[in-house]
Amino acid sequence: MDADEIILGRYYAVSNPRYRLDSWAKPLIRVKIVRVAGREAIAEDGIPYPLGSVLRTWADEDRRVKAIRERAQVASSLLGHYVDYDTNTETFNVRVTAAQLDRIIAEHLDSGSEGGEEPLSVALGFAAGS
Amino acid sequence: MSVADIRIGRWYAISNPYHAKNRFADRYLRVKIAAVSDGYAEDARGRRYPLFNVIRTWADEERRVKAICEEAEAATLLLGVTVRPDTSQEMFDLRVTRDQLRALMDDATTAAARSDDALADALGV
Repeated sequence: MDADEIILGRYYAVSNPRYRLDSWAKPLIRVKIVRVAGREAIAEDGIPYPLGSVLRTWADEDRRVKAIRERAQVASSLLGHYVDYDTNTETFNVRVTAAQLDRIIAEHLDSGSEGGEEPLSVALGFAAGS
Repeated sequence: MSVADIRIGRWYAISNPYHAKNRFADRYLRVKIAAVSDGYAEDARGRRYPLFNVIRTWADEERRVKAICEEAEAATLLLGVTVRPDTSQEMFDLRVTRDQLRALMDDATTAAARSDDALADALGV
């Protein structure tokens, strides 16, 4: 996020620098930003985070997670089996028939295997992750 | 299977009656059929199985399972996510994106609407 987008005293979702080193660490942490100094946001405990790692407000993060969970719940009802979800990768665990699997593969190959799906944070209309 | 299809002394896949009650029970039993009489297949120990529970030869069952596992392996390589096969349900478990999930949900909605229409037609409403 840019410095002028940050409202001091609010909670933000910040990329956890330990996530890459420790697979048990959460990818996002909830941080109250009290000051911005140069290209760094300073948390209330004094820890500086690069502005690029401040992704969105925690309220937006809550909405993103809620949207994913609700989608999984609707899918569970419609598909008739429990649909698990992963809020980090924004993916869903589903059970498909052979015909549906074939179609998913065909569409995946047609799309050039890059996916190209926008993050849910963008679809919901708030700041995209860096 | 019908009596004519069964060859004595061969292994067959027979529906396991416990599968419905216990999800850990195998769906099919591997049984060598020693005799056929009165609508039942019998193994060497005298256990009887209704002929309609004799599904296919065990060799065919192995080919079916192998084909499903190979399909899951190919899908895993093509999609880049692990695709787990469920050979007894002939289904596949995998992680999908939101767009892919939406397409599956559209499928389910369309199928449900089609089923409602068919029911309405059948009831004449």
